[in-house]
Amino acid sequence: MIADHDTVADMVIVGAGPAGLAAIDTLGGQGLNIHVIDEQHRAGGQIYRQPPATFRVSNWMDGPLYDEGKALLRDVESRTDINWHFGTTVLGLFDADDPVKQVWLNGPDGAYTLKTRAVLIAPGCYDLPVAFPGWTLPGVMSAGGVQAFVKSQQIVPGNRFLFAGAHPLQLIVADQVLAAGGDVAAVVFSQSFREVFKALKHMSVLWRHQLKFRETAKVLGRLRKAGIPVIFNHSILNAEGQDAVTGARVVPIGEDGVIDSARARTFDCDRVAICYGFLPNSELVRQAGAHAEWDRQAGGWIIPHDRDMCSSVPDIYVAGEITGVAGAEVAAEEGRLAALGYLSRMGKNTGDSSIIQRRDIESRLKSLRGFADLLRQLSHVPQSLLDQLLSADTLICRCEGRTAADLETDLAPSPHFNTADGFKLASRFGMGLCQGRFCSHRVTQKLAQQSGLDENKVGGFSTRVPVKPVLIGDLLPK
Amino acid sequence: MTHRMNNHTSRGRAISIELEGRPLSCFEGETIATVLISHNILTFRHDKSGKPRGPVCNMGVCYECMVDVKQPNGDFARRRACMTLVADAMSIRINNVEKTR
Ligand code: FES
Repeated sequence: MIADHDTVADMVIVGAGPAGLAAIDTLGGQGLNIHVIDEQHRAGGQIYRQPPATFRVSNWMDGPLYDEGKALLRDVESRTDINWHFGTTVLGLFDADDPVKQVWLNGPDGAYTLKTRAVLIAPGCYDLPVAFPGWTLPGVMSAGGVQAFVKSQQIVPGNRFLFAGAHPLQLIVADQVLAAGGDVAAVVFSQSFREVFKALKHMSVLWRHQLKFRETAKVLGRLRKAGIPVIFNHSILNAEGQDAVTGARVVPIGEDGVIDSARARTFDCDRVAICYGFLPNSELVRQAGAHAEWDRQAGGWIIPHDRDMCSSVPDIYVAGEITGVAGAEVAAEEGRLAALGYLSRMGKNTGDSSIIQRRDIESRLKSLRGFADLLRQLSHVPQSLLDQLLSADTLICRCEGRTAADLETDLAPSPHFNTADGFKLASRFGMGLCQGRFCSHRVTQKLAQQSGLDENKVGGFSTRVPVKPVLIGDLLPK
Repeated sequence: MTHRMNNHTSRGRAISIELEGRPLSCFEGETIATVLISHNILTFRHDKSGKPRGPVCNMGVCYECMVDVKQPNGDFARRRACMTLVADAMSIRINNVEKTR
């Protein structure tokens, strides 16, 4: 390990997305020693993932939906009282229960540690992995990944994209691909239009969040005008190709929720972008020992917290998607709330203004969470649909090459498997480089289903240090 | 075609990296993943059964984009192509068929 900092920080913020940025905005300028860690090379998180500093992009994230977030990003990014650690991965938290905690990091120059009294973990989320035949073919990507190529790296990472999923984000990404000169074969939603309509009957939510609906309607209009089929009540069946995607088959879903393979149609495309929702990056906070609870609709393992956004571990705060996937605006409000909670516990900023600020945030959160709930209902995917997409040789654990059939056969002789960890040891599911990020969601649900136990009993794969893989060479002094 | 968007974008300095002896033109600020995809290279590694794999998440989570990047001491280190910025004359390798354990 190199360059250990001896001073003890007041706060280490993990993640410079909307939640982290809002927390910095609240905590900055008060003489606190704050460190911010992010794996990306600039602040913004996935939603405001910026082009590299060497780029100039005149139309970056234009549109009324992003103005507020962009303004916050500009303000916070220019702060000089913050210690930024970009291109840096958090490997783990040691002594999480102690007043002085150790954050173990791997940056561009290798591994090092930071000591701190408090941590705010706001690591965001990633696209829900959905397995189907051909999903390991090069060219199958997550919609979020495609979007990041477009908005940050300023490339269209393919020629003709087929979007498939259940989350409305895929409309936005399809629109961005189109505007950037790419081609879109179709946007396929698994829910029926009737379901969407049913969810949208909450007119009060519609009214309060009309800007978002109006922007989405505009996107739909543009896609229709460009002749892009937007298809409801259909699912991807498989991706085709030898060394890379050359097409994808799409099937209708029957009234009974059963897919009808006989009625599959093929779309020519060289990319498939998957968009079924999001999973929170909960590994680090779970490694730190915080209590996690299963909530499938909210993204799997989410972290309960008190009114100050503090997790079950003292001085470890959480904000954003790991409290339940709910989008950037909720994340920002929670980041502010965590910062205010921290300040009041430190005996700073405890006056009336802080109480009023917190009340305002809580009332905004209520409205925003109403929208997030609606979005969850709207983009719900039944597990039975995801199960139908598997064939025997479909990989579930991509890293270790374990298939859907392996999942069944590994479970069959041992009906007593009732923890994800036990199953992992016996089966190698989740032992690869992604550390289960791509299979644990399904393995936990499968075990729960088979054992009849609650997901909270089955658990996820235990998260251990390092929570992301690190090269031995990075740990050695240079 | 996979392409760089140019209508509203100016990039960093034009540089070049080398993939197994083949020079790939690129720009400062780009990730290895961007450069490979922009040159229509989609296979970033092979799995244990020799099947091709490429980037999925583009945000450092899936580890499907691991490539070998040459270090100053001549060794190769495995890095996530989607998280690693290119540098002029960087040398990378993708045909690292994983050895079975
Ligand atoms: S593409 Fe997933 S880690 Fe790089």
